[in-house]
Amino acid sequence: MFAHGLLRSETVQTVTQGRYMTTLTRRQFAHGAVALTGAATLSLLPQVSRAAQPITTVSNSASLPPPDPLFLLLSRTSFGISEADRAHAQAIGFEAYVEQQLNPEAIDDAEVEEYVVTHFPYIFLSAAELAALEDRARSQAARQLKLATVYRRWFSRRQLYEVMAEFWTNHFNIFQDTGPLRLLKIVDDREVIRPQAMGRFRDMLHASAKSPAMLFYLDNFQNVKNGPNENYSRELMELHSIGVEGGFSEDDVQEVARCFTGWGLGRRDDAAGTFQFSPRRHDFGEKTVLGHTIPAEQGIEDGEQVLDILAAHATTGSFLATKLCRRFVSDQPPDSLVEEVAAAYDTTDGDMREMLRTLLLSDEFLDSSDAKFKRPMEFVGAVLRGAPLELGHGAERTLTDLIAALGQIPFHWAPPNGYPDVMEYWATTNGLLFRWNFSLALGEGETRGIRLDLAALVGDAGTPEQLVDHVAESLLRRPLTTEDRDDLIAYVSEGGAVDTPLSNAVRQAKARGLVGLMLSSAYFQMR
Amino acid sequence: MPLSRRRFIQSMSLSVLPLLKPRISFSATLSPNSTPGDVLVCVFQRGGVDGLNMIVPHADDDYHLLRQNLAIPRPGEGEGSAIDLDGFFGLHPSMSALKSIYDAGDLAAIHATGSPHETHSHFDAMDFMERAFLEKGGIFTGWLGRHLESLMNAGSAPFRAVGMGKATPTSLRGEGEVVPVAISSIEEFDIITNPGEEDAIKDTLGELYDGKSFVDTQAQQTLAATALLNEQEPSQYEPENGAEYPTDEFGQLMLQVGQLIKTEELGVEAICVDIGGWDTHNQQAGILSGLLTTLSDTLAAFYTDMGTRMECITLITQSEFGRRASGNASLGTDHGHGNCMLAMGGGVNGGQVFADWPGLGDGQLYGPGDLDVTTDWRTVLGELLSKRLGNNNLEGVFPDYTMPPNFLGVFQSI
Repeated sequence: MFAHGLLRSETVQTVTQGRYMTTLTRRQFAHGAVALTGAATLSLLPQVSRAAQPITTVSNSASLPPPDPLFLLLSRTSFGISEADRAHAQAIGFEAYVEQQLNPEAIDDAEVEEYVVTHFPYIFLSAAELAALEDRARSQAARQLKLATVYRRWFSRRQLYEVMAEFWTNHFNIFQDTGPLRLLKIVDDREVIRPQAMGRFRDMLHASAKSPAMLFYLDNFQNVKNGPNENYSRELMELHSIGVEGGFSEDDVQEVARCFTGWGLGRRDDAAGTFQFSPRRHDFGEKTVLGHTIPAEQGIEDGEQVLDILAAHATTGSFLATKLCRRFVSDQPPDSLVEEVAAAYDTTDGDMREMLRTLLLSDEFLDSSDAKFKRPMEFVGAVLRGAPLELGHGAERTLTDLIAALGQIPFHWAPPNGYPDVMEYWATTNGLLFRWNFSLALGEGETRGIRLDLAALVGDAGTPEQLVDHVAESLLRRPLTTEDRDDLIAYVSEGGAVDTPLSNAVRQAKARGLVGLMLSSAYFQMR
Repeated sequence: MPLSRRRFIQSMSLSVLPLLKPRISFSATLSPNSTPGDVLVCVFQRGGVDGLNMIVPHADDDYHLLRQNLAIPRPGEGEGSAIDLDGFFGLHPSMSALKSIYDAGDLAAIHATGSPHETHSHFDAMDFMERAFLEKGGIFTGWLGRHLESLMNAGSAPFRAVGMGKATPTSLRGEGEVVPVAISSIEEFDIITNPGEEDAIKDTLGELYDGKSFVDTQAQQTLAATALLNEQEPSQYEPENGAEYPTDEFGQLMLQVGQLIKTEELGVEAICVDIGGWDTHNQQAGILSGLLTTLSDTLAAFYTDMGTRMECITLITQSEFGRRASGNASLGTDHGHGNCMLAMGGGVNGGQVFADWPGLGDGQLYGPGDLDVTTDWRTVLGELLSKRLGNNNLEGVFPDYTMPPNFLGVFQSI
């Protein structure tokens, strides 16, 4: 099902220093050292040493020679660097690439959308149509949402848009795999998350509050005047808008819950649920929310007013900015950057594009090489987008099993806070082990439905040195330390000469091992 | 002598290949007695279990008044009534499997306990509880990590601290001396590749990850832990004494906890296991009944499986907070405060419910209408570490808490 032309990666292009330099003029002044280092090491010559190259990344990161800024930009704004994107970004430059990705509607993605429409048609059905499906078709529909989602993440040309769609999916987390949510989440993804992923935060907040899936997931559909249900009220403030430090009290939780009484579903027990406000179940009394008076005798306006109060609250910008910076910059993002991005929220009425632009064009962003550890979705995406592969029969199963084993099935995080976005959660013994075993199996040709083009990786490399350099250039596209390069060469040469040609059989066997080792290494786990 | 028996089984059941590998000598650090005390099993009920319906204060009239549709009936009041423990408290009817362990004196409950912090946020409450430090930031490590790192002569066995699952909990986080192992499946916990390249691949991975960063440390731990597990084969240990673990995730994780503990050469000191789904805002009766059945059947199976080993094992349960004393209109309960814990093991003064019961009447409830906390949960943990795990540096483990002059008496001294 995943066999697709987009997967055949193009030949690796040699990057010229001249083109690289011209694309980064604005950055050169402030970041001359980094830029020059990146340019000098693009050929992957092994002169780089740790001593010669001070690393200024955060303490959590592996101390690796930093990749060039375009590599950094692509690795943070995509699910993995493809050679096509890299060549394109090099051609148009850092800032132009940012602008292009900030305007996804102008990027032609017809090929991917056509594939999605053809192969995952259920995700385009209305709530009523979904509810009318037979059981078996319902299961297929639920599964098609997951498949379409990973397909778009891994293969769309609108990579930043897909990264943002994933960001909001986690921010407004909904666990799909239970009861009516299996189908309701399809509608939520199509009508709440994706349309607003690059829009204004307030619009997204309002859309989410009225989303049948959210109403169900956080029990707001059962929030009634006689015994309000606080679940949505608390998470709306703590997780969706002002943050746990936003200064809300237990009274505010109860008052907000009162405001949302009567918000519910027309037909609450099946997937045809649509938003409906029921005055009968609404508490018409006066409420006080975060110091604002919500007058008596309002209806649905109570909840809508609360959403506006929250979107405009003093801490909402910085709460969202912190999460964005954690997604794009580092697990512990610098305060200076969070403040800048929060200011962009406050001055533009919560325009996501402006927040992202501020973030991606900041000095702090450029200084953050390897500060993030790839989540499983990015690890697998980086393999699929970056390595010379062909996918055939069985690939879908292999990849979905892999994502399950690595622990990031889409819409499958049960608590309302979304998948964690810090290295500590993902870089565990279990997490690394499963990545290693996949990488090793891929190298050995043991991944069903996924075929590695070994000939492309080996090229005309003859000696152990050439083999390591060629595979590294094809898979990692970033400089290695002398020591690590030597370790890899020693793996290939087994103590023999490093500069005499290997036999074909040894060359093949060692190239397979090198694929496993390089995809298992920190060079490929960090982003 | 378990070692010779295990060796025998290993040579019977496996190919000769593992036997040809050089045995790494861990005997100096891996002796089960390298640190004094019990193996500690910590079960975390994620989501905030409704402690009032888990260990039911059935003799408190206010409980029945407040709970109305949600109350568990008094013992003897027909189907679904509580199983009496001491005339005042009773077990939820789905927890019958634990009654005989309670009666045998190996299970105790502690009620109206929990964190005194006022937060009703799952994520803050879990963070405070796992770090055992009631402020944001300041201290990064978890209480179990600090405990393990504060023991002198503690050794460096890879399996000292284990988190069952894909990730390790905050409570096990240390300064770096202890690196917890996350393991979701013993069977799958092995580096698998072309046998002809395997040793060279592992050596090279070790070279590539020879730095000091977080990911380097985790990678080194992965190499060490897989090597040791591969050598020791914990999955050879079948459940004993007729123990039958439930087939769901928690049951199967606890089965593997038993296997890791039985493999004494691993040197396991603390294992954390999660069971989620306790955030019962809506229609809680059925959900709670199912989860408590899983919990109690699994703990009973573990107790049976461990047999006499329970003399040297203590298991505790925790949850980030309890739930509101009164229900909401959707037959659920919102986030609350005070809660209850369980303690199981040969060293537990079982057959008792420890509680300084604050009551559920007017003026007795906490905040928005919650059970109060009259026993700081750190008192229970402190007693556990002091009496069962030989740790007398409680100031170091619980830096913002001073232990009361007397412990509750939940645990016997070793």
